[in-house]
Amino acid sequence: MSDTIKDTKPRPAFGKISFRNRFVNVFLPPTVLVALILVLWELGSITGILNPIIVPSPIAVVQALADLSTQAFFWDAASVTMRETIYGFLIGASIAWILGTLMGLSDRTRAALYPVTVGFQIMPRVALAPLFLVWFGFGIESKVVMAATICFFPVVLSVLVGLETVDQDYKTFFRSIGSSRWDEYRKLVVPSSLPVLFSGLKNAITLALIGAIVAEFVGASEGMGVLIKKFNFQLEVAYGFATIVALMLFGLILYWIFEFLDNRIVFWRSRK
Amino acid sequence: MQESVGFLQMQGVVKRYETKDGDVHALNEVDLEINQGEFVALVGPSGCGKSTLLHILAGLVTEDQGTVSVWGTPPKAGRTDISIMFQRAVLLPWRTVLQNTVLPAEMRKLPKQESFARARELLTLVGLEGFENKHVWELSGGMRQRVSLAQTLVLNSPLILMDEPFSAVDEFTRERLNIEVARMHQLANRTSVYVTHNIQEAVFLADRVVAMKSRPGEIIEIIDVPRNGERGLDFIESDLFNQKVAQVRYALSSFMEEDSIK
Repeated sequence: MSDTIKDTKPRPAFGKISFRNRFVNVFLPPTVLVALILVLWELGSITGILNPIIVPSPIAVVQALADLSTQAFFWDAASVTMRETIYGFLIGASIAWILGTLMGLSDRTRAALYPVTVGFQIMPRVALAPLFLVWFGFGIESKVVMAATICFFPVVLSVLVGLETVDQDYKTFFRSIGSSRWDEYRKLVVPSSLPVLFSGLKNAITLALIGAIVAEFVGASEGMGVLIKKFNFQLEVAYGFATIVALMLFGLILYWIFEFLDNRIVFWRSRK
Repeated sequence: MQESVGFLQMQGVVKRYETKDGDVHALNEVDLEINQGEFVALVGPSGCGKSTLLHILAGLVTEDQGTVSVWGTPPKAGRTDISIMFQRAVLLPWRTVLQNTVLPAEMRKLPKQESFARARELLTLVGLEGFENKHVWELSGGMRQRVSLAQTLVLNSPLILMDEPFSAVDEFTRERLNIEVARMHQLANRTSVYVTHNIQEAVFLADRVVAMKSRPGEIIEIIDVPRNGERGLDFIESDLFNQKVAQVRYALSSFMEEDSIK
């Protein structure tokens, strides 16, 4: 009970930043940086410093992307990869959440599970991809398993850290008002751990995408990883780049979904 | 003192804590009786065991030796007839002021409608009308302590324990909040035990001020402060107030010097 309450003035309800401020401080700097790189890149292509067969010009990539977006095979591949990513994430995050909770609530299960989990994390799991191919086949299943395996650990950690970071004063308070263990878990521990959990989930969803692509590289018949390999073999480098840009955009969308949920659900974050 | 009149009784209470630097004797052979309707302030330097004593009464800490009873039975965390307020307002940021206030009643599964009605009433009483649906981060430090006070009173427990509730708020806010506490105490004929390191605060609020010393934590002296009607700002300016403050300070000072040499 050493925390002091610093300010005595009421704070405004929501620190609304004006649109203009947001534009200048948040959107403008990265946009300028990226635009600068693209211009230099394009100049490099025009002047012939960069060989277009090895490094396509940004304009060529954009044209390839525009072309791809009208092709059914591209959207089929995108749909496969997205499904692998999302299923893998859901399975990996669910198992991680259960394990993390078990570890957080009981010292004994933690003593048993934690070293094993860390060992699993340290193992280069990408190396398991050929094995998964043998076990789960050429189809979507081996990719889902790979995505789940890769995105699993940050969620375990975030659940564990979240459960541990519950303020001791709050636990004492809950004890003093006669809270049951279940009520304490439901009404104090879970909400307290949400901010950390979400940072783990945001990390995990991007890792799941990496897992899916790696597994596709190792062996698949469809998906965006397959497309990238195919374009590279055909020396359609602009299309290969375009697929990578599309992957980045899909990854960003997935990330934003969680960012949005985070801001919605953990509305009190950084307002304490 | 006669037997069994005490609403709260502590006899021969001993509490030791083990730390890296050896045992800390937080409480040594403490006897204390508190009567129903009484306001008792525990005052003393840090380490005198005053908070430990309060936490024992709340059932949050168990004594090593001695007996403690609140209304005939040993204290236990979660008893509906005991409510404790902490130094730091323990408010949940995902709940509104009203939802925070009602929390102790919710944990005891008391009827929702009545609890909410009472919480609203209390928030009005502590001057937070219109803030029911605000969130904690929108409140100042003083306002948070007001919510905490309303939360402590929501069960309408006959025994209210307060652990340095306003030590983190500024002087002016504290003065106003203490007037509220005095009013709340008298309003419902509650029994209150208030821990503080501020002598003026103790004398202003209490019927009896229990002066304590540290290493080991013991009671030095109990000073009566006669109550003539309601305690308000005029009491602070009275001779009685100043005389009692001096008396408590004198009792404490003989042990404080010893402390500062160490």
